[in-house]
Amino acid sequence: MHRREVTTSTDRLFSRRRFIYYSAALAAAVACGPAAPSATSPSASPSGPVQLKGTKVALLHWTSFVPDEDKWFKETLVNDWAKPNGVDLTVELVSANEAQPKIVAALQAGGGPDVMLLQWTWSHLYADKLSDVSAVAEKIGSDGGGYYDVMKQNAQVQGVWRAVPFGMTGNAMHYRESLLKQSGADKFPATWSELATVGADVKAKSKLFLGQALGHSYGDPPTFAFPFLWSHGGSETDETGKKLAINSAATKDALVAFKDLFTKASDPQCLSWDDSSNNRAYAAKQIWATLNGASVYLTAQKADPELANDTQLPLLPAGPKGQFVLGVPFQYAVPKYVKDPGPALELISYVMSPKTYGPFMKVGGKGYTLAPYKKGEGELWPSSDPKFDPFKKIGALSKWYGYPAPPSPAATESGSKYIVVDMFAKVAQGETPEFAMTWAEGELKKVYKL
Amino acid sequence: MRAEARKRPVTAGQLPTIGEVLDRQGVLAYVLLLPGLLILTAFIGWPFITSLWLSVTDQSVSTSVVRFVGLDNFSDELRSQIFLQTVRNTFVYTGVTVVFKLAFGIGLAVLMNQSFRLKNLARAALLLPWIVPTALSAIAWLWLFDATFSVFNWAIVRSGIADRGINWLGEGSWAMTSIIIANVWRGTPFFAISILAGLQTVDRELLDAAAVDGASRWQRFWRITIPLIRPVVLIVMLFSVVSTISDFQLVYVLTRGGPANSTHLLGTLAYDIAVRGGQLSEGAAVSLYMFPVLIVCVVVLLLYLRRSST
Repeated sequence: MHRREVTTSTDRLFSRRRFIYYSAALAAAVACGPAAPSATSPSASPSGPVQLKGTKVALLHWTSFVPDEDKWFKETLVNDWAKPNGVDLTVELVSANEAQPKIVAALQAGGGPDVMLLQWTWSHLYADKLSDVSAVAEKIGSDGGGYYDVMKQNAQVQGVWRAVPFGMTGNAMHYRESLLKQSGADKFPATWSELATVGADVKAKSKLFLGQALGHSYGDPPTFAFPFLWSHGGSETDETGKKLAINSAATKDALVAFKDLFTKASDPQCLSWDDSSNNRAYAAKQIWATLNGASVYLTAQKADPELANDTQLPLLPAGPKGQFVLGVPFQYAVPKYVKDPGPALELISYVMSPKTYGPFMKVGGKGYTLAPYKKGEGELWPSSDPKFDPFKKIGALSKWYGYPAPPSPAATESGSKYIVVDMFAKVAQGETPEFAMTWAEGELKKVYKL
Repeated sequence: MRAEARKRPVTAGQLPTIGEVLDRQGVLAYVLLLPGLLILTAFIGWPFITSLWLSVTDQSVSTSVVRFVGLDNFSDELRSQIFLQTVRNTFVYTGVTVVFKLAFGIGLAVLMNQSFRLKNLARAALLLPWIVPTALSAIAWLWLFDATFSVFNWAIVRSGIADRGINWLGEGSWAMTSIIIANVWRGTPFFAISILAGLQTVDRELLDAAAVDGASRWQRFWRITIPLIRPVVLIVMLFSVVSTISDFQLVYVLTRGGPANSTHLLGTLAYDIAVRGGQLSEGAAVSLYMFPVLIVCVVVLLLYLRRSST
């Protein structure tokens, strides 16, 4: 073996043997170091009084399109609840499209936030990994005058509350009244077929189109496509969820009506739009109408008051089978991996009590986030702006992924694959309604395993 | 003192010191390999084995009890039009981008191999698209292709080429073209710099001798330069195929697979199914469809490297 004859001070300091000694020592130190503190330190049993002082709670929340709502969580909640109670509250805000990867990773890893804000029907998707929060959910619902059916459907899985309803983003049409009147109409169309006619007139006169997002994005595309389908009598399955119903005369009617509306009043560029594309286009006065949460209007109030004044907020038009809404619902869930759910449930109870939630609605979006319970449209109603009055109906009109069947993991998976949205997009791209329906049926068969 | 310890004769029944063990090259080699091996095992090997296992089960985010289902997840996918369209998209995207990146990469490398002022600055600038994080550059492309605010469309309309701009991300074939353009822009510098390194190893005397013999510029390039840099080109192409076929970020930021799945790649579809839809096993099966293609690439690469080294 070759041996080194001359050694320098550097050699002695960084000889390979020493390097390995140091590496091993460092690894041992890391391995034997103090364990990371748990997310929640057990201090009270769930059934007993909850000792909050000294506990830690991590809350995963979505980043609202209305910045004041984020500020409320980051500042008001910390100052009004966490500090007085001695709770170390961490609020993590993530965009709606990025929340799900974090939630899935936490649930699979068995560690992460103590309270997570779920969207849509995710409670059904993750039910086995979420704590039973029935006691808190029932109390809040009772205090708030009763939940809307849509909130119950989304948060309750086989009779057990797996999440506490937080509220929903109410989607409504935003349109420019002046352009509508220029076309000769005096009010926003009440039906889809009227919208096709009026939309064509406005497009011809103003050169601006009805901007409806139809890309792969979580909010605006499905909140348009599903109500359009339902309002013509179409649906993915029947009421039981055990028989596919997408390939039907009702779906065909919906697709034919949509083709008419899209061709006359909209524009192919909408096929690439996500949830923010239409906001930008409306703010830039490139479109005359769009379906969106009230963030478009609320933003315009600050950035362009003239545009805000010209904007009206009706709900979606009705079809032959009625008027529908797919509100964007949210729920608070406490994962089962949280050993002491007490502080987490206390946090949820505080936020959702009418006493707190009422001021939150006012300080925050003033109608952007709607309460999950009926007091929200009554004594807690946050807005004095009459333009928001149609939003009071959203809770009652809202349905869920999978309607008319109860929510299910399959319905959620279908939504995640944008099958219904793409069925409409295919028709907009020039495919026939029959082709689009058959395509959707093939995909839904696989998802629903029917 | 240490030298004396090293030279200490090991008698029967006496254990060697750690230093003596580490002085054996065979032992030391494995000790030094261990950290890298642990990292590879933890971050590549274990996830890969896990995804193999997931793909033959029915695990979803919601299931607590997992059943073995064999190859059902793989066969189920073959009945999905979305999956079949995604496979087609993935091959088109990979094939077209690699060809363009190769062509532009060779062109740029030849250009950068010339002597001109600020050559080093130009070479450094060439790398920028490749250095910038993909998510950031993808957001810039998103604005360039934006249906309402696209600067390309502004130029097209203002210059009178057309009355209205191109529906870059909203029409199936244009959406695929858009993600190909963005990928080629990002990947060309990797080709260019690698091929430039190859070009600099080409012996000038060979080119000069060919010139003296009357070979044209094209003949010198095609008959001498290209054969000499072929090993570099092949390896760069294989690396590019591997990274492009498993691309995710660019498509996720630009289109999320839309419109109507016309830009879904295996990576983005697997994400939608596993993370958004919660069907972990199905998502794992979709992502593993990449594996046969990637394994062929790796085997070809290894065989070529072995042949070159012998």
